[in-house]
Amino acid sequence: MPHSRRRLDLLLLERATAGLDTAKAAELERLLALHADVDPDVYERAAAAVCLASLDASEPLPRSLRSKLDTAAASFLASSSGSRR
Amino acid sequence: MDAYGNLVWALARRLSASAADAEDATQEIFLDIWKSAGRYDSTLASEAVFVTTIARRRLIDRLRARKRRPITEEFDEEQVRVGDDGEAGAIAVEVSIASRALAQLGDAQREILLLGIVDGLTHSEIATATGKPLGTVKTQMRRGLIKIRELLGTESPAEGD
Repeated sequence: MPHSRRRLDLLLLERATAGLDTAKAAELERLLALHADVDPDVYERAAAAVCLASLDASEPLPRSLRSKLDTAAASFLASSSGSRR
Repeated sequence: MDAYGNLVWALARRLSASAADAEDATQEIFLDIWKSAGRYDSTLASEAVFVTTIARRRLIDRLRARKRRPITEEFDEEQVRVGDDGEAGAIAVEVSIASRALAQLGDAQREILLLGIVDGLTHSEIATATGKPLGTVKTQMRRGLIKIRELLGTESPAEGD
């Protein structure tokens, strides 16, 4: 197994758990460019599944926050529509 | 937001230092989701996993930037349940798969994985919390996540040769 592929695997694992500093993130991008066949999110999806299995998501969204999000969504949609004209 | 508002909020609360921090994080996460929506590939993961992946990425970045540990605190704000029954159903499938996968891990691996992924502890913090050597923590974390990935039915980058 090429060293670069092994290193890529380790960086993807680290990104999925602890995140990467700037230097490692740049190294990851270089390695992903070398190995275009690699799914860059494979471990992040696995970590996401662990979160879903372990998290209590019954906590309701605060009303005030929901209002802010509704406003932000409308603004985002408006700016997205405008940029397509 | 109706489908995943509660999920994103729960993630933000878990990995944020305060209620205000969690609110800021939630808003940033939804902006990330809206910007990334066009990249969603249903053949790779469910919407719930896609949303959670984006949320974790933002939350980990915020934790690293602040070098701050998430703190549990009481939330006194008026809250209303937002979401419909469809949310529970959509998330339940992924939860079932991942729960079965977690149950197949050894106790030590599961503990380390949950401390790192769900509670947001660094490898060093996990080593301190569990009394295990740092090298052991890194190895167990790596092996645990690989196992989860295998059980969910995806390929490893290192197996591509």
